[in-house]
Amino acid sequence: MNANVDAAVTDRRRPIVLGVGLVLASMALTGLVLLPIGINPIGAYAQILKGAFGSINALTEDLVYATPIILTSLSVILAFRCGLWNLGSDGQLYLGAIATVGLGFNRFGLPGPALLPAMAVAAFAAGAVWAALPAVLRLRFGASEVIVTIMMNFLAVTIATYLVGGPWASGITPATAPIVPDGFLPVLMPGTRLNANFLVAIAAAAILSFVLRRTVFGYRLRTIGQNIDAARYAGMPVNRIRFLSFACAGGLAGLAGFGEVAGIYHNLPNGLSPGFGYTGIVVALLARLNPIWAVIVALALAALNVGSGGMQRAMGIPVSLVSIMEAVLILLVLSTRLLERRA
Amino acid sequence: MNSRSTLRHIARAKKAPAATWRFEAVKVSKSYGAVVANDGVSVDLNAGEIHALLGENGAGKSTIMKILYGMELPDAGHIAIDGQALKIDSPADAIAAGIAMVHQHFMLVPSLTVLENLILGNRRFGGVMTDKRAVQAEIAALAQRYRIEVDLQRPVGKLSVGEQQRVEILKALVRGARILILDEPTAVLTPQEVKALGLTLRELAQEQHGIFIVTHKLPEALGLSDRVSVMRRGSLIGTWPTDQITSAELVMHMVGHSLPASVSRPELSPGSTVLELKSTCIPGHAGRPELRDINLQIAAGEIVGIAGVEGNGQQELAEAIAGLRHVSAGEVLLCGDVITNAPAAGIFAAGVAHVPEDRHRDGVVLDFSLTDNAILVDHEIPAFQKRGIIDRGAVVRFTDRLIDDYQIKCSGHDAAMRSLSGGNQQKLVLGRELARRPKLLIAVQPTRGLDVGAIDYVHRQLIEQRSTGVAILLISTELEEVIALSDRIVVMREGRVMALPDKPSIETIGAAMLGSVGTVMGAA
Amino acid sequence: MTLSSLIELSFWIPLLAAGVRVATPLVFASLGEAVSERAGILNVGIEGMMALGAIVGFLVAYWSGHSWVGLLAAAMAGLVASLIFGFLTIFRGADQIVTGIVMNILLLGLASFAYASIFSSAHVVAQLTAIPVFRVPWLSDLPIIGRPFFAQSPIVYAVYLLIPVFWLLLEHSHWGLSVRAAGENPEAVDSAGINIWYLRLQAVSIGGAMAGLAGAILAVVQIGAYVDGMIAGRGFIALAIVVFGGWRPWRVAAAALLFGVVDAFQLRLQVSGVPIPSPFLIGMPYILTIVVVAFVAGRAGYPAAINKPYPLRHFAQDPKVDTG
Repeated sequence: MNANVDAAVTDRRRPIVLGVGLVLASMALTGLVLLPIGINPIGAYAQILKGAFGSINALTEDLVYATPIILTSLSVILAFRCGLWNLGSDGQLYLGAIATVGLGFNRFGLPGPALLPAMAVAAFAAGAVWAALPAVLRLRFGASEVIVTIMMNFLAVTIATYLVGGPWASGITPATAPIVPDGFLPVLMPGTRLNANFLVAIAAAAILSFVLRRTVFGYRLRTIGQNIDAARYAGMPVNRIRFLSFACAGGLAGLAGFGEVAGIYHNLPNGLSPGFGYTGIVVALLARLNPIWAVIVALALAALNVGSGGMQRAMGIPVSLVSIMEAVLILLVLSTRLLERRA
Repeated sequence: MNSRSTLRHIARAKKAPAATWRFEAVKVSKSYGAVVANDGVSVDLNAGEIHALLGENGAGKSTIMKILYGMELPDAGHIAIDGQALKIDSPADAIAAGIAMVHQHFMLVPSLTVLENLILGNRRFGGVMTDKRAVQAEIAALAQRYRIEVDLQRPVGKLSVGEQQRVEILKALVRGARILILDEPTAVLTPQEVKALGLTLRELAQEQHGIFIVTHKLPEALGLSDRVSVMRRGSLIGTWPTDQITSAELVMHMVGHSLPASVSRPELSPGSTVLELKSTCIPGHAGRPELRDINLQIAAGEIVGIAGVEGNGQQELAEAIAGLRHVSAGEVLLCGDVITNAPAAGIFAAGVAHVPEDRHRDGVVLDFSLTDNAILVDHEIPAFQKRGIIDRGAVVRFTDRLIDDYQIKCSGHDAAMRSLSGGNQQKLVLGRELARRPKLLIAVQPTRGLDVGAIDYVHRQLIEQRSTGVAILLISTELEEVIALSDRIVVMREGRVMALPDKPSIETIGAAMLGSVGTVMGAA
Repeated sequence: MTLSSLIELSFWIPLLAAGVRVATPLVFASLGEAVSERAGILNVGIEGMMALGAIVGFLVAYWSGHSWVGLLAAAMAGLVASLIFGFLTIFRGADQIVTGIVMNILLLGLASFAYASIFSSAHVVAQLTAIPVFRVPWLSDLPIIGRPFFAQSPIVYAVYLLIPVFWLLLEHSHWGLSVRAAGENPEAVDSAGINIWYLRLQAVSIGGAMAGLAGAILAVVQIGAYVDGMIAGRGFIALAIVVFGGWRPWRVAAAALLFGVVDAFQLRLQVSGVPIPSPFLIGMPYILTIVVVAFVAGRAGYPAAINKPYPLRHFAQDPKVDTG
């Protein structure tokens, strides 16, 4: 057994060294894509760094971008941990945004202080409902939630586009009418877009981590994710737990939509989500399904995305470069077998 | 290579050849990390001979056979025919050399027909497109020559286990195999089917084929073979002609000492009825048998053993009692209370413990620690959690106590379940279930995959629990185990339970498993 | 368009023709994926491979001036992408769904990046000249089915050839038998002496090439341009079509035709000004997919070995890896 102990110690260092190496390798590989169009990758990366960290505003923008992807990654993690694929966090985000906006300019006679919490609850519920359908279809009929959640994404965007262009149109911008000021999320740093939903996201990560590690519900969830047969044989109500998890996962993504509407745009614009859902999946995978690590990885990827905006403005390079880099990184990680589902 | 083509040449000859050959593994070694599976093993096989390789679970016999068939590469040593070394790096090489393997878990595709399974990967039936009609005639002739009866057009999934094994053997012959390696061939057969297999093997030996049988079952090894070798802890202990060695001597070689005296079962008068099944019916699905009109009683302090080959409904019965499978008619009673179709968690809380057959799949979570596994069933009881939050201290103390009481060899309560040996894993499962002080213990194949020491331990535990008044339902395919432990024995066959006369012999039980003896147990 | 026009053939025949046209890329993608899944590899990344095929096909056709060169290049691009996917899932044991999703992110990003970089300074949206329709003599004059099936772009006729070829390949060839076995019981294939890893790689390559072709057909033959997001979920719909068609080539093609007709139908409804809100119309194919997947899921069965990597043999023994 002693040989295994030694191996374990060096094993702990290996992933970190390997991880850094992989990040560098993915940057190099992605940089190759720039060469055919005559751009120096080093210059491009320098612009990304400048765009991400070059000013106080840039730093707050990093946190702003991180907020929704923390929530969507938590959404993906919660579902993945009990063996279900939630690829629909984008759609659930949109439903949350729709509910937020709907309540935000209609208000239904709610008193001022109650509006914001009501919008949050509505967003959570809307996201949960949008996730409940694929969950039921999977748990009751065995329908692939991979396919259904992705279809629901397209449907959600279609509905949002219709509302923006039709019944809820503002008539001026490609967005809906604005929500009333009572429904604005408080700004954390004046002069920036950093709002309270960032704190909501952090809190959600902490709560999810606690639930998974220390509660009975979390224990059952982890067991189902690791060995569903053993969970059944132990008498756990497997379907009920999976359904609740998946619905809550949808709710978390809904909260991301809430944050974007109530904290940033104060209406529902077209193209609200530049792929927050898919970035959330990337974050969840790189964080190895750990909620606390997800916050850290989300901050890193947010910086990358914000920085790439600066790069595009400065050098005209499309921001899709960043998706390529994220994907290459995960593919490299997969090729070294570092990525495994952990309890 | 020359020697390879020699065997193939023999294989293609239509008449039984006169030439004999000698096939051998020479000083083969293989390790998996720190575990030495084979240590300088040398075995050989002659034409027309049946050679049994005996050893208990984990002795290394499967490994050497996988190496002979090219599914594993040896770290040292080589394989030779008539003295000439042979390179076997893959099953394709083995097949080309005339070696075929009949695995314990059949390598058949259930959705394809027998014919398609036989054609699969067979270069002899060349070309791009499959010409089924031509091939069918050729294979039918071959089957007839060896007196193997099989319907070529049936999907394999619809065949019985014995029939599937025949298909596997035919597959080997179609590939022109001269050497057959059978891995635990009798594990899934009734005693009579074992006899039929023996006849087929003799037929093959007559035609100058050579056969290796890998098994842990002593009587069958003796009954089927000309020579027998024993492996223990990765080494070959010795090889003897079967008619020149006794059962007791072989046991000595297999375990290194004589078997401990078999567990004694003190006389007990059983108490009140703990488990009762009244006319219970459990629907079948996906090819699994339907259970009809089951009547069974188990009293406190009594062990009732269900004998029977796998696949006759035993697992379904155990699951139905534990609340894991739907009961469509009849009743299940626990100490007089109806628990039919109650949720499993409730049944466990009411005093039922279940040690499942497939430990890795159903009993434990391999990637969890021991503590997480210890509370798998009982995670909700007040001792372990308050208001939904797990009391880690209490759980750790419980696990440490289990490790102590059952002497589980591990690196501590945080060890990964995966790192424990089969025997220690089973100890944890058993310990965790018994710690709940159940009224009824359902033990399904409780000693499968365990070494002799662990088997003995489990048997003693079961007897001890019986003495404290626990009712035990023992389901096992190992007849010796059932006979040694049970106060009453019943047989399950095709979804029905058959009562047996008192103290039945192996032959009686075997006959009941085939259906020619025993009465279906009617309502009490 | 009124309700009464719904019963007139003059509505249905053009609809069927449009349906056949819309279904063509779906058939390509689904046939390829069916082969891949029969071998045990579920490729969720065909959406991305279609996008890659669309951009590569478009670019090569644009620069070379020949559509078929573009199609060929797209097939090769899809093949290369599926080799990466296959390498990770077959030889590295990576989870097929995770890898497929990541491939989608990669390829969609690549396609978008390539188009934006190359045409960013152009003032005119690049366009290709359309391939003319070819009316098959005599057959295209048949009543009812003549126009929809035999007065189409030549690529549709390629489909008519492909379906029986795929059927023969899967059901009546040795290779097909091995593939069908590989998806149900990979151990049986291995112990029969077949290199199951390369077999699966071949199957998934066919899937990738067909997906690349499908995307190129969309961009080069049908629309004549590349637009970000043009695949619009067709790759995932193809996954559903494969399940709906029971992994059998003829039925998969029929299922694809159904989807094609439904999509063509909702497009007609949009144009006709019927007072149904657009989400219901645009969403029709997606809703149909959900219904199909839910309805068929219980009865149909994926090949037993899907998404279960078959462990490599003679690989450096890693004691942590459970070789099962």
